[in-house]
Amino acid sequence: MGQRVPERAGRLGGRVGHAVFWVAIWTLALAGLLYLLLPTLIIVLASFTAGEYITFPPRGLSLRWFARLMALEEVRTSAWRSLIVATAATAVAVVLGVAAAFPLVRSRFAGREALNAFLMSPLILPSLVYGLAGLMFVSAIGVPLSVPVLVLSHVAIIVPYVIRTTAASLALLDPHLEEAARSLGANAWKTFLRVILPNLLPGIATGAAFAFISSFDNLTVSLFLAGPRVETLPIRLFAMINFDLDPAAAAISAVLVLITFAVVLLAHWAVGLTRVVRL
Amino acid sequence: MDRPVESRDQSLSTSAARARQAVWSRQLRLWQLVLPATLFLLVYFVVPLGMLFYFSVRAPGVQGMTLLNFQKLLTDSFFLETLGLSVRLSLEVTAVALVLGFPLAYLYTRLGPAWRLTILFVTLLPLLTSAVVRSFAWIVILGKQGLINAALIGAGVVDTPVKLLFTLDGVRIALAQVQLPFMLLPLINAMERIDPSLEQAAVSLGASQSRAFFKVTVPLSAPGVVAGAILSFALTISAFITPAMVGGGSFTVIPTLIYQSAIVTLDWSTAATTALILLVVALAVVWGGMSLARRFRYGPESA
Amino acid sequence: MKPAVAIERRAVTPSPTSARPDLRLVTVSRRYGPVTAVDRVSLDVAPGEFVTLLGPSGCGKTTLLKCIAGFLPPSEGQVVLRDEVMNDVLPHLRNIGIVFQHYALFPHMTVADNVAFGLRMRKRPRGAIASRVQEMLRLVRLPGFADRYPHQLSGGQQQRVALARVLAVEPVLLLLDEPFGALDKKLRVEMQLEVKQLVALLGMTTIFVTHDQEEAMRMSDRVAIMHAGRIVQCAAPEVVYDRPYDLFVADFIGSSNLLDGRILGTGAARLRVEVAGVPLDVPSNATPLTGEAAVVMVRPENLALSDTRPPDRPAWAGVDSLALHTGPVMEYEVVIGETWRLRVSRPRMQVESARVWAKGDRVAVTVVDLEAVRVFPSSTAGATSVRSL
Repeated sequence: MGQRVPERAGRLGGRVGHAVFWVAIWTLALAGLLYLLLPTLIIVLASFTAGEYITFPPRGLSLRWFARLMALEEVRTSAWRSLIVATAATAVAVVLGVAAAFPLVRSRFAGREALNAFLMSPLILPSLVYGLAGLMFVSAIGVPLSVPVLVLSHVAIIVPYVIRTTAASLALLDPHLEEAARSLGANAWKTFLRVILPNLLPGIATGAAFAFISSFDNLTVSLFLAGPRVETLPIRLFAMINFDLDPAAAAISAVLVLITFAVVLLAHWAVGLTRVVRL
Repeated sequence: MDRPVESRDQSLSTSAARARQAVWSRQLRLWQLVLPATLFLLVYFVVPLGMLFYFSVRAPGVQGMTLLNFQKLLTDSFFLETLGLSVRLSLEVTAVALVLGFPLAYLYTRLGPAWRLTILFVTLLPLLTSAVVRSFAWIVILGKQGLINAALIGAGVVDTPVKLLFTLDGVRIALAQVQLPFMLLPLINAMERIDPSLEQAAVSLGASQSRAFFKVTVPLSAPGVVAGAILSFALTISAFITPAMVGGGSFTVIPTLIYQSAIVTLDWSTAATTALILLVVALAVVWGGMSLARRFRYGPESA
Repeated sequence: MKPAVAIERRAVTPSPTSARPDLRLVTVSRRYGPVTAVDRVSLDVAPGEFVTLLGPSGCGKTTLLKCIAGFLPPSEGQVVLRDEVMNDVLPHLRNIGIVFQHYALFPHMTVADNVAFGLRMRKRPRGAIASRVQEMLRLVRLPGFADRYPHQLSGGQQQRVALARVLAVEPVLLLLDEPFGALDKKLRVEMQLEVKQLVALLGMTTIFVTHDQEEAMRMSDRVAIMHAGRIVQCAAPEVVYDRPYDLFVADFIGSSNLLDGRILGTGAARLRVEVAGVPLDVPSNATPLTGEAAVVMVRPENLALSDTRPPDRPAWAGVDSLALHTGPVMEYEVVIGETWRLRVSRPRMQVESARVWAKGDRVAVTVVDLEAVRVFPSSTAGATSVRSL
């Protein structure tokens, strides 16, 4: 009973269709992959040019533009400024974010979902709109633009990263661990320090790394809120590019990419990229 | 006889009461933990947005709240053109990101750990790289001596360099790459949740690989498509840096208008109003997309 | 005297009919680099036969299933379906029906659409599809469920829809990949019976994969026991149980006492072997034994207890160390001497075993039927359980 298996011709058609399908999928996928990768790769390679201006492929390889970066005072100052702002913002974000993650994961209360959405909302809001709003707010209350103001505005937009990764880590933490510690005599604080925190550290570190890089990289909000005398590295880069295609700009870009690369590596080492994706 | 029973009851009720109290105080303490972050965001996030609202409903020379600003903008042909351009551009970019992202997400679910890691790495690196750097890279690639022109001339397709930089086409190309990671991640998430034996079941019932793909995998990944599309659209329509850098001044999008009116002409009412309109459009798309996604829920996914 | 029980001399007993087999596996192998998941498997399945691939996890049964279905190409060998070699045929053209472990019902389609899927792929006319769907739903006793969605169904109902879907296209072969794994015990047993009746009704050639012995024994015409990628024995359930081909099968199927024995002498198809000091006269096995050492298999239900040693048969003397009441059967463990433990199980309802022993009782253990004792070479690899020591 049952049908016969199809004739030779049917089988051949099947194989052709099969091959076409996979060729199409692979072509589009590889195109997408290259599309993602190439721009970053190109700008990093172009920064090693020995020539006077940016070409691709670069004319000769040299580190001269990186050396030049060190010599340019504006670059050094703005880089340092970015570092300070990002570190400070990350520190505040970690304190706020880690604390906030606990009730979001552990408590059941009405409005928890809403609160969660609220705390995540800076991620969806266009940073342009936020930058503008921040500027209006700050001038309305009469506070002059300064580094602390910039730091606080960055905190607002990066704290969701910390909350998200910490909450994800916390949710994965076996509650029995805590119960075991408590039953063995540890009080709440000790349990936190010795049981919860060590297990959360990878998640917190990843969130902090994302927060840091978001702050360091940020241009839009900084453009609005940095003020005329404060320059972060992205602002400097923006200015350099708008006026001429300086290979030093490529060198700065390469440095930024390097920092990002380190962040992604850290995230993979701490938590694994496959888990990051599920956030 | 009575007393032992009584004291037992009493001790039961006090221990129950103590337990309840313990739960309460724990809840209370947890509440305290979330307050700093909440308060912070309320002050540094919600209030500024309130300022935006404030500036948009106030016009010079008019008392109290007014919709004059909105009226002015929404009847201005240049503004409407710009808004139309922004929306069209965002839709186009999202479509391209979808076409390139979908096969990549599909392959992700079918390949081994080495490939998966590579894909994730290649996706996360640009995602976290500063928009300035990425736009700069495109300036280099799209320029007259850039990679694309070099390849085209080298292959003999054209004789003179094609103008891609500082054009709308160039910005489209650049923006699609910028948005691709944001489209890819929700897609991968959604595809991973699809039971792999579903496609196998379809194939065993007589569907060729491509039919199984279109009849099973594609419909079931609809929630991911919608999530990625919403994200992509919202981010593209509010993108400032890439259109500014790669587009030069050749055309305007809404974010450019906002920046100009806020920083250059210092016309804060217009800036605020434009920003609010942008927000409303973006939120409308997000909300519309989410209701669409809800229609594609098929109950708990067959696991 | 009872007639001598035939020894199992063949690993693979052929199927009973002489009709052309529906499925032939000809030395099918599947390798992943240095790892061999399926090792030169050959099997013929007759039309309408129900064969189960049984084995512990990792034995290669699921891989073999995938090779038959076409999802994995064999590294070696051929898959032949009704005289047509399938190696180059894509899975969607093989007309093999598969029921997956978690049913794999399309969640975005109604029950009717699920069942109609295969028919639509074959471009049957609409009216024919509709009536066939109804017919199938009636067959699996789910009429009126046509417009429901999978997530609205219980596990057992989903199972039946999966069956209806697969049977709707009248496949040449039916493959069931541990389909009852997700069901609770009672439902499992019900579904086993239902499925068996259904496929018997339709005369469907079926290959069933499971790691559950009981299930395999209950449902199959033949059971193919797999270990490390090979079929160790393929025969009817009673043959596999009574006449295991080697030590692995003896150990894997049912429970048994596996005891070290010493060969005292061999005769025509018989053997004298000493176990824990007691000589036994038993049938010899297919595989010739070399040397003195051997492993003797005695099933717990093949042992009986008595207060005193009977004068006319070989018996061990020992002390009962465990007496467990497990429903229909009493399970005992008797310690012989210092080191030997024999597991004995006696039905509780038979007159002769109305006697129940308790822990600490001194008992004598005798073999009920010497013909059912098996002896294997002690060097056979593969026995996974610890020997009774």
